[in-house]
Amino acid sequence: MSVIRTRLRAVRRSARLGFLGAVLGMTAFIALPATPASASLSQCASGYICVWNATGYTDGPGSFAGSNQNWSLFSHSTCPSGTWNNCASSIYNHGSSGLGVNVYVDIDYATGSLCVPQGAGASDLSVWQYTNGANANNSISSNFWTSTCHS
Amino acid sequence: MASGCDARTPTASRHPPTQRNAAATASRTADIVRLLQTDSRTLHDDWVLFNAQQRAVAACMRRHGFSYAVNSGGDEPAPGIATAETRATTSPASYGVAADASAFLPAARSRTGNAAVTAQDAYVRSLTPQDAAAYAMALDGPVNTMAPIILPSGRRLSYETRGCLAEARAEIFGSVRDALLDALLPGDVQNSFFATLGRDDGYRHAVDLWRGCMRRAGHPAKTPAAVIGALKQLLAGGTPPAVIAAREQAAAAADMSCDARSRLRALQRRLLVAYSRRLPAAVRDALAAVADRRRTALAAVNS
Repeated sequence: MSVIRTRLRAVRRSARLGFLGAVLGMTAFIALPATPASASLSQCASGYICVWNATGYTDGPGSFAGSNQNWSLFSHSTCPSGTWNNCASSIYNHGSSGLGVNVYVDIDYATGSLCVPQGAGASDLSVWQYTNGANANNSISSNFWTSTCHS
Repeated sequence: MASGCDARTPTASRHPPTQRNAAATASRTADIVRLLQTDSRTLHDDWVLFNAQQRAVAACMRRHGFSYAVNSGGDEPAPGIATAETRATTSPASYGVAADASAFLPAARSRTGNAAVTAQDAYVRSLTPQDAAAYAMALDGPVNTMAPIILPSGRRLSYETRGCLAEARAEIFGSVRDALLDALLPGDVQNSFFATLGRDDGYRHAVDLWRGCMRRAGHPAKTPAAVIGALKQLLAGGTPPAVIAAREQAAAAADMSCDARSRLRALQRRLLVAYSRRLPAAVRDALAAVADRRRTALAAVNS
């Protein structure tokens, strides 16, 4: 599998997070070229959680490594905000460490989460809700890996 | 047996059928409530199962000629720690968040100290594309062999059915699907329950009491879950575990006191018991099956 790594254009408009946040973003994210016509789970490299702008794993993926407290640091040109914040419509946990990934409706893992176990994917987040009842489509803002979503 | 008693005959059989049915229903409800309420025992069981799964995955990967860096899943959860739904029963009180830090190996941290990437994920990401593809094939199987699952809330997802991860799940839970149900079904029903809490006047009043108490104690938070979330935020941001431990002990102590005054968690449990009794039969059956399989898996792992 050929994974083409492109240079991340860190979005620096989040001034309150400043340089540290931007560096964290650069260490935690790779942007892959959007190829909707051939989009599939196979584009998600092992070791990452991947998200797509559209349902059915199309228009992406954005590939996240590690826990990330503000997805507005990660750019994606076809998202309304130009970043992955509040943009994902499908998701796949292709981590390798056994951990599940909690995704949150707010930045900073503040409120409302849902867990995606390793090796599982949701092609349509519009039928998913967070713990606070909010709809998960176009609303993920942070992610945190956890062993309590164990399977 | 020397006494002549039949060991297969349960004591309850001496009671009329209606009493036996009531006892069975109560026992089943208790199992379901325990599954739907995360307490320190749940966290410990999760930790045991996670580690068993890690060992099984590592053994499988070795058989395929690959190495696998076992993730500890953090330190063993201590008995009596507080959760969002249950009070601490030991002193000093804590939520066990700082103990999670060891799930993330320092060697895998970024230069900014972001405690986030496991050694295993870092290893896989360091492989060449060809090696990574072979590794992923052994661990996850081909992506076109995923199976669907639909939860009571309508949530749909697909899961990998082949590879070492699937093999390990099946080994522990009986099937890959059962492993996914163990991870997802309780949370799915919990979410539906949580959605009902905001409509309960008594619950809202208890939350207000708890919030006021926590604010006066110097630990303002909307809910116990928010307290734990804030601590996890510190952990993910690279705050030293010792600092987190001190903060969480202070917050958990205040939480314990405020929970006693507001009776927030006791009320939530009563509401959960009532909610679980109102669940559709099919959902209760599914939850009871998850509880049974979890019990069996834990017995096998602990034997």
